[in-house]
Amino acid sequence: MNLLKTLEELKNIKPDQTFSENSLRVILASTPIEPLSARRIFARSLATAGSLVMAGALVFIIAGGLSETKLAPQFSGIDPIALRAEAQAIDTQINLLNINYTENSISTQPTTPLTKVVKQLTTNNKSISSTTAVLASSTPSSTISVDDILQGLSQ
Amino acid sequence: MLDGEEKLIQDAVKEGDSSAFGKLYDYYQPMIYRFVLVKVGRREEAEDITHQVFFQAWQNIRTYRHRGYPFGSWLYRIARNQVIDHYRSQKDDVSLEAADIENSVPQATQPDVSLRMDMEKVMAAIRQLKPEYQEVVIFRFIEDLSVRETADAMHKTEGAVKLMQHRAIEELKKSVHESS
Repeated sequence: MNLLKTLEELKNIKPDQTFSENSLRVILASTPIEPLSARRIFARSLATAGSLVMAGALVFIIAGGLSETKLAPQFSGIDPIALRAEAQAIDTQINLLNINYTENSISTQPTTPLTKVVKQLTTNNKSISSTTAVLASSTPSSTISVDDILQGLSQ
Repeated sequence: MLDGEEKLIQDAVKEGDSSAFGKLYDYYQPMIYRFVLVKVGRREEAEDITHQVFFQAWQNIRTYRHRGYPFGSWLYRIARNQVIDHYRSQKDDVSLEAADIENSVPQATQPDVSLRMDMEKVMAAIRQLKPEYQEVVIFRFIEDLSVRETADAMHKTEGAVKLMQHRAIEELKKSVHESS
């Protein structure tokens, strides 16, 4: 084999014409990337900073940050002092006085979970009846507050 | 080097002129294709890589700066990197030996079966050389570049190119002789 002659022959290798045409068409259909200029870097930075500021402001508003400022919306029909007082007056300490597990556990009569529940419901019904009686004694036109109901239940 | 290459490059770089880039493509694409084909040995892969080379070149044409080397030198550098990436990604799947004897020389290019086999044998032998030697052989004997042009394309001195050429041919002869 003549090496140099064979190497010369390799010059005749050419890519497929259809491939070349399609490849060029695909390449030219794309847009060249714009080089990064100072102006583009500034514009990009500005856009990123703007997005961050907007996102931060949104989180601030969602978290209720405006409520502590004068920018908070004012509703004329609502008295915030009265609302706060009412909220503080609610007694959230609910005592389940009618449920006495110890009593049930030392009971000599064997009880199933179902009879326990029935018994408990009966006790609760009694207290609810007494509460209803208390409430019924008050004037029907008066407003029943949460405190009144909870107080009745505790009795 | 293509006639009026500088003007074409200027048009393509500054104005994104696709017809100017098309002319550069028509001139350099067969060279890049041969360069890649000799290195990878498979026609389909050579086509894919060649496409990628010109795609990247077009995408980054606005960043091209003329530094005294021919435009082809930039394309060869992209092609070299693409071939390296190709082998890196194919490392686990295809060995170089497996890629050797493939239908890399189309029948239309060379109808003579015996000569076509010789061509494939030489291409396989070139792939056994060091990457630098491969490039010297391709530039000097396949693309017919002068020593100066080869030195520019490889970013080497002319003396280094001559030395590499001598050693590459010696190794190639030895490799071809052993294979036959």
